[in-house]
Amino acid sequence: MTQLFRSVVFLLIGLISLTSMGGCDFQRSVTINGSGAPPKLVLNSEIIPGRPWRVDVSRSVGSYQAGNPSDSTFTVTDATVSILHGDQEQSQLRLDSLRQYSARQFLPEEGEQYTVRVSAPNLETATATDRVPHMPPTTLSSDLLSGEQNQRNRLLQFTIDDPPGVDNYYHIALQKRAFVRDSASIDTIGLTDVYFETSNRSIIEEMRNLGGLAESEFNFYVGRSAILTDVLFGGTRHTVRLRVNDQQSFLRSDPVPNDGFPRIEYRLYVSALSEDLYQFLHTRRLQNRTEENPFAEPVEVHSNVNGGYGIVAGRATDTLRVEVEE
Amino acid sequence: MCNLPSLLFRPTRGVGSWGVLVVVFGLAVVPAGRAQAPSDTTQASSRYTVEETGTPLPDALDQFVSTTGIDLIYATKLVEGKTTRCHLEEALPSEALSCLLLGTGVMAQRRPSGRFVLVPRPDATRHTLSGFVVDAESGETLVGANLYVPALQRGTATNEHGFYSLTVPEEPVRLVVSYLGYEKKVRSLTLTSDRRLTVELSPSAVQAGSLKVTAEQRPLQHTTRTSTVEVSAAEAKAMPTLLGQTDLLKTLQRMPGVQPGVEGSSGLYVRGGTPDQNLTLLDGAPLYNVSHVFGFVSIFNPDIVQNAQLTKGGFPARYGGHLSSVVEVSVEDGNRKEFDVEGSLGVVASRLTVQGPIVEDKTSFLLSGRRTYLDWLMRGLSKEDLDGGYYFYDVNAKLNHRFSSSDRLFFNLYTGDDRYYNREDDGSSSSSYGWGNLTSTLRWNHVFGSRLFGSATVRYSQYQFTVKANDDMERGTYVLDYRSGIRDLGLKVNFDYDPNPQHAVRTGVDVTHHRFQPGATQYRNNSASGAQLDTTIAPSDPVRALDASAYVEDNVEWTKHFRTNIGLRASGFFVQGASYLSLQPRLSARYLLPRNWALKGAYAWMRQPIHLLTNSSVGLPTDLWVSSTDEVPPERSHQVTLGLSRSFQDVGVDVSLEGYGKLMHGLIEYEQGAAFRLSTDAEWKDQIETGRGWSYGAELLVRRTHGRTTGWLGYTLSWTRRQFDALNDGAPFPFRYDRRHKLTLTARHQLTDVTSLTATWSYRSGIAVTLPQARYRSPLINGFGTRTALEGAEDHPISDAFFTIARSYGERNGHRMRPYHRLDLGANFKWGNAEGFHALKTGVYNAYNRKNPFFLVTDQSSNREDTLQVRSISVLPVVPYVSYRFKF
Repeated sequence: MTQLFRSVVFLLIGLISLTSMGGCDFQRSVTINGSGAPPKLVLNSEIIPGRPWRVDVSRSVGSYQAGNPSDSTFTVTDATVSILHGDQEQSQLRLDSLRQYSARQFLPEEGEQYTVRVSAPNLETATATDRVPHMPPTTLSSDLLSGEQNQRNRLLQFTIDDPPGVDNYYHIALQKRAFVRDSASIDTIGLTDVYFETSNRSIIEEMRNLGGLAESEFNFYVGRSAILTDVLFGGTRHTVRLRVNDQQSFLRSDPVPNDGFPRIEYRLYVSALSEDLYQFLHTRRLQNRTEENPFAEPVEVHSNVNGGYGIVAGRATDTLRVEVEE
Repeated sequence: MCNLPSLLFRPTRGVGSWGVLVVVFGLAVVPAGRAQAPSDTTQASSRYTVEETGTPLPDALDQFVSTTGIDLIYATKLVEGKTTRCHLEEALPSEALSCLLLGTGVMAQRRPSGRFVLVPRPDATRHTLSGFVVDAESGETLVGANLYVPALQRGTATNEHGFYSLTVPEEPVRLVVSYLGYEKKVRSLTLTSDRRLTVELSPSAVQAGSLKVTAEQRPLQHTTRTSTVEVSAAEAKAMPTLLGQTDLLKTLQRMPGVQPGVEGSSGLYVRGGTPDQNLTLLDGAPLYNVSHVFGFVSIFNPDIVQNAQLTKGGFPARYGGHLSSVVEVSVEDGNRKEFDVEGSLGVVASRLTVQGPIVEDKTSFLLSGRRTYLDWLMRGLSKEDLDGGYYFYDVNAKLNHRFSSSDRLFFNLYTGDDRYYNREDDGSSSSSYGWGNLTSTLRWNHVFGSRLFGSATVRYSQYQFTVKANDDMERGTYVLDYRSGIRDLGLKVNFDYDPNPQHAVRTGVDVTHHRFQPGATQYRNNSASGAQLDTTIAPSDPVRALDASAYVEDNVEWTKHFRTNIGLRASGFFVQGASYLSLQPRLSARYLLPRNWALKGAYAWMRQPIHLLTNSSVGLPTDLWVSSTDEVPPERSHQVTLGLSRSFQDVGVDVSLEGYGKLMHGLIEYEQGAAFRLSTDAEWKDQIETGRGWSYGAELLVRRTHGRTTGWLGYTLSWTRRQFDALNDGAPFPFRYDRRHKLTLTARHQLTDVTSLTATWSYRSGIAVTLPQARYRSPLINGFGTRTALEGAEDHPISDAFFTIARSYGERNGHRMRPYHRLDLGANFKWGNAEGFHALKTGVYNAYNRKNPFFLVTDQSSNREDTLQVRSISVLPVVPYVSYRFKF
């Protein structure tokens, strides 16, 4: 038995030595064969009714090659950019001072479909087609809620008449500005983003996986903007209730009652999105949320550019305003 | 020697040689008119091997006479035109003669003169031997023990209740009973009527510390089962393991056809399947979560496990409900003869098992528990007042009572939990996460007769994941209570019926009521101002479903060479007004080739009406079990296998080579970016994609099960693909665990009575991951749709936005991590006597400190060139272990 225990002690000493030699170096760089995919054209643009055409053209870079594609060295300045309405070429865009391709000769219209075609030396020609959606009628109203000072005390009700027969996609964003009482138009802080809280099912369903605040776990969503689809209210009049705090973001230097910014204008930016734009916004948020998580399946950002990357998508917008007083 | 190419008599190697052969050949005197074969009176006779088939009987008899010198008389007309089909190894001369005459309608009779005369065989009279095979020391039934009659080349195995039934002719036969880890028992007997026989086997001496050989297995070539491997608890305990924690599932991971998940996890990915596609049965009750510590330790307590059997394909009709495999874990019943206490001390957890008789030979119990002490250690070592930690525990309890030799009642309970908790010192807030199984069965076994065995089981099974949190704040209290899980209540009735030696019929029904609760959150917020919120968030009620199935299968012996297992399983799954009915045919066949190789093939159609939603590669408790619905149909699979197998009994080696192909439909996965959320997972249907997958490959297993050196070599060559319309542009892509090669070498050598050495080396191709292939300019979307502070400015179009970088990923799972390989070494010391033992297990995991990749991180390079770099993160370096077991 003594011999047995002697053997065990020797073995343990050996094991401990092995461990100490092993060290704690748990990381190592991985060599990836090749530099990644060859460069392609990258188009970024929106087609908004009544707005001039503007297309940002750049080129992509292999993942493991040096360079930052968001800086100007990747801008493609020798491209030929054409706009087609149906099969007819309407215009060629020119490189402007912002190093983007633009034109004011003709403006996009609601309900119409356009194609952007871009070619450049040594790069595959890229095209993107999308239709500009219609902006349905919308309204915005306000009600004061009873509650504590620090809680959200105002209810903004946004109503949309969702067009029937088609799938519709929306984006909303909320801002506000405040005025000194009796001041007609001058405020001192400018536009600020507003966090709103909502229990709207369509927004929760959409935003829960897109990085909404922690409160989304408890069946309401808090954010400054949101995208949503009409899956739950297609073809009907739908009201979205947004709870806000009138005092949020305002630094009250003087706590004297009736001072500060007693008059506030809320602005709700409502956009009707094309499906491509909706998919882009959805997947872009997803990629932001998951790319640092080694256990998550990577998310590919949606692109409607054939032969390249990026998004060229239709959007119709409306701005709703409501003014309130404390 | 005669030139008989298709017939060969030779003495078995190591027994004797032709030149010095002394045949002790005694034949029983056969009463006139009784059909009885010659028999041996001693077990010490020389042995013969008879090979090949289709030989004319007269030639075979000539050869037999010239070899053995036996005086044999027969009428030429009696044997003319007849052929013999005999495969026999290590047979006594009398067995060889009986074997030669099998199926010819001729039998041998011994006359007073000592001569043997061949006479026409009257209609054979058969009787059935039935009963249980039990451990001689504890009286516990042994599941899967083999019973084999060499002369008839016929055998059977005990069923999951330890019962067997074997029909043999009314003539002397030699019955060999064996079980892995036990001494082989040989009995000569002659049945004159049906007979009940309980066979007691003693644990092999190796287990107790000496060097006697263990029992032989039933030859692979004698069964129709394919794609099945078995691991005994003793084997698993001997293997070197991470932190000394014996783990049955990790032992099964070393078998061909089984891919492990990430390093250290106990998940089984069988032939391209996923862990939820494994039907895991603990004494017949299904388990939905089979691991602790996020998948790193299996829930099976090795001290009480008898064995584990993994079926990867060729599923008999008795199995259903899952696509990829069946893992059957048998637990000891409890010692019916004396009290035992067995325990283990380890770095991570300790175990204690008590078992013994309540009424000797009638009623026994088993109680076993295991717990980690990580939380205690953390608290003890922490300098701060830490009130929190993690622990797991599990408890097994078993009670069985024998009413008579025909009736037994079993009660079995398993419960186990993992729990993470955290509390503030002042009690103002606390949170805890808990997940675990509770499963319980009540089973009645009844032997209706020597040919009919029945069992009825009522079972309850539950898996639940809970989150609890409360917080006392200045403005009120907040309480969160989240639950998700699955609860089953089921009834199963099975019958085993052996009407004659050519048929073994199994039939039964299984009805299970499932209650799925994919997620419900109760949230209470009591505000100091009086405003209260008390909300239960469960958008839909729990889903209730009824799963009913009936099956019948028949193991048919068409000829000595050709056997089949033909079965049909009819099942219905009824949920929320939707009905899914299916008829699932099953077929396994074996054809005996020359030189005792068996050609085996199988087809199985499987269906799985419950799914596991998971978005992680480790077994997180947030994985959700969900039901098929009217929108989400059950998963289906078709699998074919074809292979060769043979047991070389003289050297104790089994060889199996199999190819397989599997097609799976209705697979589900979370859609891009979807993930577990506390609030709304009842709407999981809206977050999934359905698709299909396929897998094919080949597997080789060479395994030595007895002798001083045991172990196996397992190799897998495989391909696995998935295809979902919404993923990878609809193109097929590799499954994450699509490993092209997997090689495992495992060896255990009994050095002395006390000491054994073990080593395993594993190699597997790297797992598939998705990496970015390009980067490009993309607008920052934070300010999308809003305006700048400038009055009158229009909202930002995308082209005006600030730009950032998006990544474009190539083919999903298009990149491979580095290959994985690892060497584990161990030394086991076991000493004691028949009353008990001490065992010390020590060794090292990952002996040469291979930095195997656990996951990859892709981030910006630090070299300021704005390129991406990929880093491989390893988690388990060389890790020594030591654990101690005892039994008294």
